[in-house]
Amino acid sequence: MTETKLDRITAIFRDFFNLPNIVISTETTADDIDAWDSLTHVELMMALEEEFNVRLPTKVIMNAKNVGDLIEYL
Amino acid sequence: MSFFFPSIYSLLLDLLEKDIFRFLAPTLIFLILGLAVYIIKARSEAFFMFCLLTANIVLLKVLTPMTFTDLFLLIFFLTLFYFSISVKGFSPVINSSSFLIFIAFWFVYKYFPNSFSIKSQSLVGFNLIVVGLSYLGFKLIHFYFDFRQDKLPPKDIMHFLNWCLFFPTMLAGPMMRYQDWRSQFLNIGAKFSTISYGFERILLGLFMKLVLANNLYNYTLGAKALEPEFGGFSVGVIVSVFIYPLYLFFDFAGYTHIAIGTGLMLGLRLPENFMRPLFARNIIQFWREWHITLSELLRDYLFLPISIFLARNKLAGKLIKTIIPPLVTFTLAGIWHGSGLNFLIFGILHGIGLAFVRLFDTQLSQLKLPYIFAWFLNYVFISFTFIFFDLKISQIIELLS
Repeated sequence: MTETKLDRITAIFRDFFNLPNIVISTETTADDIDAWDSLTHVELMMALEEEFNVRLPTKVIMNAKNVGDLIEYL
Repeated sequence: MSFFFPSIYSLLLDLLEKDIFRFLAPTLIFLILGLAVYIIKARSEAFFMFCLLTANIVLLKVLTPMTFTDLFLLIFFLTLFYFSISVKGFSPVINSSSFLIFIAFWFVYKYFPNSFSIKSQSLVGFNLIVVGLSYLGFKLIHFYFDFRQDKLPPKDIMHFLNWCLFFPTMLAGPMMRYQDWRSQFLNIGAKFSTISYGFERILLGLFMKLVLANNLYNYTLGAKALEPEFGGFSVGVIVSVFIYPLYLFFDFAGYTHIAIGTGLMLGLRLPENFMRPLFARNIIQFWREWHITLSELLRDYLFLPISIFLARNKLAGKLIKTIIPPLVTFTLAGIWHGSGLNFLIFGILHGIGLAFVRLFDTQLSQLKLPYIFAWFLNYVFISFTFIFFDLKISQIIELLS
């Protein structure tokens, strides 16, 4: 239960992008991760939805600028 | 005295024929406007907007084949569009149906220009302006959807018209979003630093367009197709195929440099449109660096909505989810460029290319291809698909025969 949201997000990112050492902060944006582009974006969002068992609003998926924007919806 | 006028007039016409003047006339006009704002310290936005609109209309009249009737109709069309989608009190049904009517009108106008005119000539002139209409259509789609999502700053008809008709970006981008346009006008006006930087960009652009692109053009298949002895395979054909992306890059990026430089005369920072796409190691990176403002609009208004829709759809399998979004997006983007069958094929090929790279990205990265090899493969793909951009289908058949 001590696992924070950010830890869980980090685990998803590491698994999804196959980058076991990547560090995720609320400031992380798509520019920081090469493989995080518009083609992988939606799949990544679906992975996050599954982990947190929520449904992200379409607007958030389209407009989130960094991980911090996503956290409050997860 | 009257003796002089005809000769001055013909001299001016002579200048108009010259490429340089075509590119520098807007620069000069916007420089004067920018300096005027700076000197007068005019903060009357309404007056400035009026001057800017006048400048845009004059430039469209002088430098494009548009007549005053065309311009009048275009402005009338845009004003009607603006009010029908944005006036509060109209129900959303009226707003969205008027949007659809306008888009349908625009679509018919672009793809079947002849159906609108009595003569064989379209109301709004051709060539240049047909491309311009593509951009305008996309701007209207962006404006409509962002307006519906309450993402737009206060609207103002003069801003809207100037944004639609802003001459430097009207014909070939870069496509600036309405939000960026409005926020920049808070501190508009020329500064010495922006003007000198603007001239740097314009000089670079003129060099790319008039020196590099204009010379490379002679080696492209499009130029060779105009000669009588066109057709048949030769080494020269392959060379032409490889030269075409270079030509297109210098032509388009050069034009963009000039447009950005011209915007800087007013202190306006237009978005960048090109990075180094021809050095890309795959097609995804290519589209991230080529015609960036178009790619980003395509991403936001086609690709992401389609992807999200499919991702939430239980029936769609992984293959469909990966292949359909880029394929649909690029097919439509292909048609957006023009009405020929060749543009459709161009779009489909690029959609398949993107889906392929995405589908096999793990395998491709495991291959650990050296950069030069990946780059070469990608350049070959780009060159050969761009044949469909360069030539009409009938010309390609002629080439193969």
